[in-house]
Amino acid sequence: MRLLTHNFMCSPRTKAYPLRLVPAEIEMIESAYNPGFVQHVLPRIEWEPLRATALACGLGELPPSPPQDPNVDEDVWRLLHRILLDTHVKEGILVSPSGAEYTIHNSIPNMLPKTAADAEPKHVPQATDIMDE
Amino acid sequence: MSRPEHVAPPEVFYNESEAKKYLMSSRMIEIQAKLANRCLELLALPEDGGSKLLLDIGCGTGLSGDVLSESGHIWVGTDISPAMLDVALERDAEGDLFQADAGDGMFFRNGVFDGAISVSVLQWLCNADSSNVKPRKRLLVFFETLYACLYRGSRAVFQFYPENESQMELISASAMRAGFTGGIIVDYPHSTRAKKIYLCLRAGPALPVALQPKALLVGDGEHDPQQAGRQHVEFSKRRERPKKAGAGKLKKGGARGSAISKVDSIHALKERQRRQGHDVKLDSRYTGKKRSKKF
Repeated sequence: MRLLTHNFMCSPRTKAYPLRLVPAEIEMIESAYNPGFVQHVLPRIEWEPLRATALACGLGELPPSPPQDPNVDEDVWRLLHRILLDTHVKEGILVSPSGAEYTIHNSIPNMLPKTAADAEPKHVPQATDIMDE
Repeated sequence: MSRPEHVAPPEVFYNESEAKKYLMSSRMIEIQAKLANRCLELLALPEDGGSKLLLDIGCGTGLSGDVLSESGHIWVGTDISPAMLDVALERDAEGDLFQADAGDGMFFRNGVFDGAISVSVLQWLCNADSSNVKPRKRLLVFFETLYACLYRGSRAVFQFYPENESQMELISASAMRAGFTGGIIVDYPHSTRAKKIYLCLRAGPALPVALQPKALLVGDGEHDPQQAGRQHVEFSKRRERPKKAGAGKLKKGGARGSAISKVDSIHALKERQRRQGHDVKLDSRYTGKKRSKKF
């Protein structure tokens, strides 16, 4: 999962935001530098959570406010591209403000609701059960 | 033809062996790519050539996502079947994958996606796989949360296989209730095999750029306010009164007072009946005229 997508996520149903990322394994997959796309999505990004996540992943510090022009401070834009599009979370946990946890395994977060049936192992009738009766 | 929705819930039906088919069968791969291409076409993304952020609901093994990647877009896919997602990882799908149930709703902030596509998924939401599942509610939750996470004016295109007319109505009605505008498009409607149904939705009203009204600018000669003022239609002081009933009625058979004479109307009637293939008497100079008394 890219950090871009993480910034857009909120918890299902309650829409609580942000989901705190506790990374366990991070993978960098380089892609072609695309300032146009970064500029396109920048207005939709929540800046403070992004800065916090970038720090938590050890990717360096972003300026306190989003950059304006991709031609002026290219270093910041390249860093942004690296953080948003090249950083993939392979393993980790997402924690919602209410404390609900969603695990990320093999870079796929599991957003399925945890039902009571999942928590307790189901009782599967065995051949021996029937024999006892 | 058996419908997979009747066999088992999606997370069970799309098991390893079913997922393998999407990896091996060139026919399935081709169909998926074709459908995804058509969805992308119907999305009608702005033609500025820039990459967009798209959502693929029920991405499966990422075949539809590949079409999006090829067009240079960044995509996020969700699917409920872990086996399908495993194959997507195996195939190195470029999008971000999520294991989630579309019927539970989306889990993204408002207005973040530039569009959404979905290939052969919606019909799965119409099934009640256990007693506490209400398809009507799940569809509404799905469409409402999808509407929220789409950027205003962007589109969502769903290719799906409705089981019958009422299912199609249920799906499109749920979408309309959630606030979407749009409707159903049927490709190749006269062919049973090639027929494909698409639900094309738009999140919020979006006027094409060409149709949007523009503000007036200083020095804009054509729209000089004084000149424009002269072009206004003046109101007249005359007041329209409703006409009395019957005042404008034609007098029966009166050739003088009426717009169409009796003879003409008879000719018109005969002409019409001739066109319809009836047996009609020939016209003569006595047509529509009174006979003399002595006759």
